[in-house]
Amino acid sequence: MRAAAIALFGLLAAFPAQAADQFVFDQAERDAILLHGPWPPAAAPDPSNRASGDPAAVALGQKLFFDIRLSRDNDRSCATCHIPAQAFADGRPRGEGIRPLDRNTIALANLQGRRWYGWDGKSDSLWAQSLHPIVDERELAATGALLRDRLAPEHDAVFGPADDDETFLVDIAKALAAYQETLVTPRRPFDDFRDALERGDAAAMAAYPAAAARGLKLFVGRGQCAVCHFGPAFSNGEFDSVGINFFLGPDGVDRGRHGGITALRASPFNLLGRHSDDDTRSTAGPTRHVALLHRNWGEFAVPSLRGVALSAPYMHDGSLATLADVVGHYSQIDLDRLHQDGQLILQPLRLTDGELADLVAFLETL
Amino acid sequence: MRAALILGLSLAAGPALACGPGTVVGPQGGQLAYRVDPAPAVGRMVAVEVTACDGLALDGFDARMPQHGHGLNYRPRISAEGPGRYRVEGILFHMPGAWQFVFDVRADGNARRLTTDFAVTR
Repeated sequence: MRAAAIALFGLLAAFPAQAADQFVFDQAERDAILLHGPWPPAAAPDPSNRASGDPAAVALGQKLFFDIRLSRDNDRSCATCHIPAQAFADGRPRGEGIRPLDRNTIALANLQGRRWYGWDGKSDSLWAQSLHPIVDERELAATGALLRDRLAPEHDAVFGPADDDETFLVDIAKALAAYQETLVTPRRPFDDFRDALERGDAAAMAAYPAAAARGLKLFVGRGQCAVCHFGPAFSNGEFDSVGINFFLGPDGVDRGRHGGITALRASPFNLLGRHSDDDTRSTAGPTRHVALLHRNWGEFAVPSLRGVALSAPYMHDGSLATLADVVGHYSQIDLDRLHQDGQLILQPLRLTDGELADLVAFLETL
Repeated sequence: MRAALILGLSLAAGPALACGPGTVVGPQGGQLAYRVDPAPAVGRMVAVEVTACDGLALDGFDARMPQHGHGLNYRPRISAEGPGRYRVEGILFHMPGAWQFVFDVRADGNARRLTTDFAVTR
């Protein structure tokens, strides 16, 4: 049995009596909260990308991110869908490239050091993930040869001449990745609260909204949200099926993680391939060992929750318009829509209206 | 830092052979020792070094979360490092909580499944 709730370092006397309860956490809750920081994390260059952390490559990547020359028809760029003023997402349920896309446009932030990228994790590096929209016929529909014709001087100034069109394309993607690695969400009220909790600063803790503190208690406690939304980025970096529809019209299906692993293994751009700049393949362990499982069907990435209030709508298909809708989905989750070999801890939370509002208040502090 | 653990097995008593420095041989003889390298943490890829005592052979390995109804998202690979010694690579705990190691071992032609529970807390 868990230890009885502990008063925070005997400092609760500093709180008004009516405000104290939401700031009392037992040891397990306190430990879980502290695991969500500190923030921001230390930057660590990607060993598979020789452009990672290189100021010249970052500058080139930033320029190209907004450059329509990356598209076949010179009419769109990365920023057409990843709009800076909208958390580098687009606010639509599903992306709109040259043709409609099947999934929600993921907000771009805190991308460095992840194991997998994209809703299905088909990429094991940020540079590989940055390459896919360039060549996808539904998105920018360009080719390595086309980019080489257009961008050779800028490319060569940073990377030197490329041996072939494919390498040229990868280099461009590596510059884009180097830029995107610099997109880090700022410290938020939760971070101040978390750090105050760690050092036992009751006065600083009291500045955190009471509703958010109650929501945090649910998040790390009864809600079990922190099991998947784990760590400083509020994601364990993996995939799950959470009862969201993955059929595409009457005849199609979005395989989710199952398709992602299949594509990863077939890709010449994965970390085991020739384009990785890490001769020791030091970060390729997950690629080497990832398992293709039946339950991967309909699984999608556990997204980071940092900055989540800015990136509506939600879920892989953008089917939930607001954070209240997301919390409501988990509160009333339909177990019949989950895999039988899926996550058993997903159970309807049946939250009260007040609890739903508290969880949303907490998410808005991330 | 390495986490060193010992798993006592409920096998039929046999000749108790010490299987390595630091290994504790239990009263029933059959034992398997393991250590996780590096220490377990969510999202960290680790290996498990196994020393099988008393003529045991390690045929299979897995890790799972019984309360969650699932195992790893990764497929570990076993390599023999010497007599009775194995290294299992490619283990990544993707959630905090109660995990269980599963060792499939063989002794004198008899296959057995041995388990041990532990928690990943960080």
